[in-house]
Amino acid sequence: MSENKTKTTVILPLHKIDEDVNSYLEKAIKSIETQKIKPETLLVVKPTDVNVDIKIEGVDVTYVDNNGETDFCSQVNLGVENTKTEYFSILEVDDEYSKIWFDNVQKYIQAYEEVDVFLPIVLDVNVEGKFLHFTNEPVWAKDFSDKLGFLDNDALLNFPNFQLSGAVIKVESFKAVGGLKPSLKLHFIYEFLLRMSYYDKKMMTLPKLGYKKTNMRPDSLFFNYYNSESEKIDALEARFWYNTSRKECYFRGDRGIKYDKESSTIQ
Amino acid sequence: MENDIKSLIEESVSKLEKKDFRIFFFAMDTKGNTIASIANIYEHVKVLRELGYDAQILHEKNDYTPIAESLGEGYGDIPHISIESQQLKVNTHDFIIIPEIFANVMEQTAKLPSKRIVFVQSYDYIFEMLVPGKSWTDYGIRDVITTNEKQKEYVENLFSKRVKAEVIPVSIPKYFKPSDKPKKPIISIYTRDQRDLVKIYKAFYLKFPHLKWVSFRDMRGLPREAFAKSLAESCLAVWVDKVSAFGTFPVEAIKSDVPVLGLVPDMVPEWMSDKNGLWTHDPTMISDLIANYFQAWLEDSEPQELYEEMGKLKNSYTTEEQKEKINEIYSKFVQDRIDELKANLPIEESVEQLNNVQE
Repeated sequence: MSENKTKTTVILPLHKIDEDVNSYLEKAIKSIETQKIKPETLLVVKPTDVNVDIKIEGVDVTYVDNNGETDFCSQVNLGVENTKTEYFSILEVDDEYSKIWFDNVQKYIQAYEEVDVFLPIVLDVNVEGKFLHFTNEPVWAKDFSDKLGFLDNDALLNFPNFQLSGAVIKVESFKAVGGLKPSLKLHFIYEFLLRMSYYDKKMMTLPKLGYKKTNMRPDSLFFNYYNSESEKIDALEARFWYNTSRKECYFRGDRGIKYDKESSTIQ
Repeated sequence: MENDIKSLIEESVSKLEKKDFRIFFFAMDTKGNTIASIANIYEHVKVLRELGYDAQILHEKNDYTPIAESLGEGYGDIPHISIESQQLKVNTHDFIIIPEIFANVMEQTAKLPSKRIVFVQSYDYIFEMLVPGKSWTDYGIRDVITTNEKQKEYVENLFSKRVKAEVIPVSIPKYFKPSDKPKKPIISIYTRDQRDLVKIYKAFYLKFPHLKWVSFRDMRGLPREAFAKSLAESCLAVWVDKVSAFGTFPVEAIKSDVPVLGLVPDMVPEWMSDKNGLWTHDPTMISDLIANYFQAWLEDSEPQELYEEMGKLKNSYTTEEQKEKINEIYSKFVQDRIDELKANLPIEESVEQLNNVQE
């Protein structure tokens, strides 16, 4: 590994490409280009009919055609299967790394070899780019978790709002706990983090602004959860997925959970 | 009778020449709280003992809480003696070092035969117990040890040059060093008045609620090495002490590679420059300055010049330098005492003083 590269593959799940997505994609790619320490590989996971041509100086760009399920979790899992580096990171098409992220990741990997997941402090913005809030930062608050800076099971049971995009994750640990579960909706990241903590994986928030997340971009996954006629999730279903996540985290594999609107009640 | 006195003086001179005497450092009981001035007293005692002197801690009450343990290795065998125990004998060839705050002790010990020296670490405490209209010289004090040139100048001017001050700079122990791990979003804070600390972090959380997760760590009361470790892992040190005469805490922080944000004290420390810290004269601005700096730290955009300037203090205030100075200054005090006993002590005064040897 060269000194100006991290042992990391950036996985970019792409679902479609249009003018709107393209404008976000340019910024996302730029955010890799401007890193002082670059990831080794950019791995674009995309449906076969989506064509893009990305070039980044000093970074190997590879493409994985996804002929199966193209939901977010399946795309990421497929990306990880095709990853050859020790770590990977998820970059969503409408998000950006901060220019200091991988430089810091390099330092923290050296200082905390035992850590399986380095979460960034996420700068959450709206579609106009206006600051909304930070995410992943509470682990540094006094008494939030057992060990300052680290995310543990008890802390997660009390506070579910963490984000995985931008994080740098050990491939081996991700695979060991079973990856993301496509059958879970809305709270699949929460369930994954709960599962990681249940299996004693070490997760810390690297205390630097590492990732800028655009919230509720029209046609994005979470936008559709709230707004799309076909994918909309109501309060009852949201509660179901939340409670299910807290139970499913004890199982490694995806058990194909389905939501049955007719039989569901508020628990 | 004259021969008795002569032989007693000769005996004292001989003991002084052979380092067969004691140096008592009167110390305030901080109830185990390791404040910098007390730590410096223990450092003097430790170094003097290493140099072959019989230096001891003298305290008022039997229930004094020693701080030796919290200072780390090398302080455990320092002898302590209490005035209350009535075991204390002070001789002509002994020395008593009295902190500046204890003007009452200077008065009470005025008739003792030993040499007494005042240790000024904080000029702000000089008047605390001093009777209005009285001077240290009224209690026979002529010599002062202090920690920097500015305090020396202040003290000598205050007492119209009738006391002479020697400077022994403080030393920062080697365990104040940069952490081998990246810094954490923790702000170490030291304020002389605890109310200032509360005001700062409450104002900070009020004005910058999105930074509520940033921890402020009150540095009071930690054992020294734990204090050093805790300081080194912080991303910022905040220091508010208007009456500080030196500023041990900020120097410790700078040596730990932790930038300092602070209020400029009335007596500007000799090490302080425009660029080696984030200094302000306005206490109401401190929480804003913390937020500005912290935001820069989160984005790795702290001013590099700040770190370069901090680096200039890296080799200052070392234990080696202090040890050398302690050796030089205390040797001088001993020689001066020998000369004084040999030449200047009037015989009548000697008789009176020798009869007053305290038990």
